[in-house]
Amino acid sequence: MNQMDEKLKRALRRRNPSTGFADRLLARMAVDGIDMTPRIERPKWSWPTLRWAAIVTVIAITVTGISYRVHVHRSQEAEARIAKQQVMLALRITGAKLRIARDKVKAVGGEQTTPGDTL
Amino acid sequence: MNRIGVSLALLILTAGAWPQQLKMPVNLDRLAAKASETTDITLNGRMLQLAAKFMNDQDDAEARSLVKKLRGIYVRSFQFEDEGEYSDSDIESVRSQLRSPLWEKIVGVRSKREGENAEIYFKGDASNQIDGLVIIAADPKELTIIHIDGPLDPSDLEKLGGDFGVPRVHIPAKPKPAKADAP
Amino acid sequence: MTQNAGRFAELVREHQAMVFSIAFHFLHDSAVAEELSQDVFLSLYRELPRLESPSHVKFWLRKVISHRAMDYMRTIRRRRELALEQIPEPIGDAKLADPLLEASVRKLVASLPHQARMIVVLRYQEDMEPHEIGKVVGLPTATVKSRLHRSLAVLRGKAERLMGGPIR
Repeated sequence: MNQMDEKLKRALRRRNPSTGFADRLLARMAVDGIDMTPRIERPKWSWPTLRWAAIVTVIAITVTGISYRVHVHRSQEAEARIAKQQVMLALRITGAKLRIARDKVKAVGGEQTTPGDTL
Repeated sequence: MNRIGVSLALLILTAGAWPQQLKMPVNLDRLAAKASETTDITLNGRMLQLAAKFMNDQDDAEARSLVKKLRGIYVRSFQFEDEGEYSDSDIESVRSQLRSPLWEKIVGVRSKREGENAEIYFKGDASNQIDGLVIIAADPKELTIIHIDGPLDPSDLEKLGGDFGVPRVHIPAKPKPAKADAP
Repeated sequence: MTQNAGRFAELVREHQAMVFSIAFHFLHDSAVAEELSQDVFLSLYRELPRLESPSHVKFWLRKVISHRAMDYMRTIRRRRELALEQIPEPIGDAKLADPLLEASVRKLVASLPHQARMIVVLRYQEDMEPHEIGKVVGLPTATVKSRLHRSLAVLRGKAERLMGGPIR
């Protein structure tokens, strides 16, 4: 393996996400109402099943309202974070190009510039 | 009606004939296929307001005060492996929009030897304030078009000098209509 | 596979580094990489009954996180970092022999075009062969090989300029 390969392997080796990643995922699944209990085989339409189905439906409707708000908030946060990064990048590019234009104006010293230009 | 009034009337009439929004032409997307690297940023008012809400650090304060007022930020930047991958006609559809009376070219620098061009345009509103900025930076292997839509104060740009390297910009003052000065 | 919280959590812990790292090395944003990784594991939970074996799970995870990361980039339409030094480093857990150099290499990788970047990540992070990479990203093996070859040449050139000397 050559030097570049070694550098890439080292730089790109696996790293763990932040502490508690799995716990946060499971908590999120609980909020989203994802049933994690072991499945026990029962006849489909037994009375206990129907009763539990009714209870679960009521809970699910309640949880859905909460989880939807959590989901919307989380999505907005992610969207805002991305937008902020793009804003900063755009402003940096703008600054760089304005600086280059200023340098060009200085270097050219007014040659072939339109009247009134100053930077 | 005196000359100033006629000019103002013409400005108002002709402004309606030109699209209010600068459109990034579709042909620019073709350049992405030829470019080795592309930067494509499209942030409308809603996204800018959302971003501003999350710019709460002290370091972000000046950028936040600028961004909150804007209606949009659009960047298309293409880097090419070879020269000659784009032509003037690719940029012409942007330039033609900037010939509207709403826009004023305040910088146009062309270096024939290096083949580098830089153009800066400002858009004025009815009260002579800056309401938009376009930068076209055309190098042999790189083309960048930036459109910042919304009210801009030269002092806004200056404040960003520390973080964003934006140089001090002197905007030559437009002569104000004589009548407008009267209280 | 029987699904319950404990077993699923084990599965998550087994593969979280792989999934997160593919996203992180591609996007160079640890917060977004975590967000996408969580979404992929949620999808895994729904998909599990259809996955036949542990190796099938691994292949599925690699494929889905790769595609989600590339789709994410297309969605936000950000394809180039202006200045490499602006790309933030994550909260890392590795004791690095040469942290500055490795961070620089990661940033160079982050500057590659999307598909080339993902190919490099899968090759060097996951040690995958070109034909395996091709199946994950949906490209012919020959294309993967040529993009890998070209990317390495670009990276070598950039790294040599950065370090001021040749790298073999």
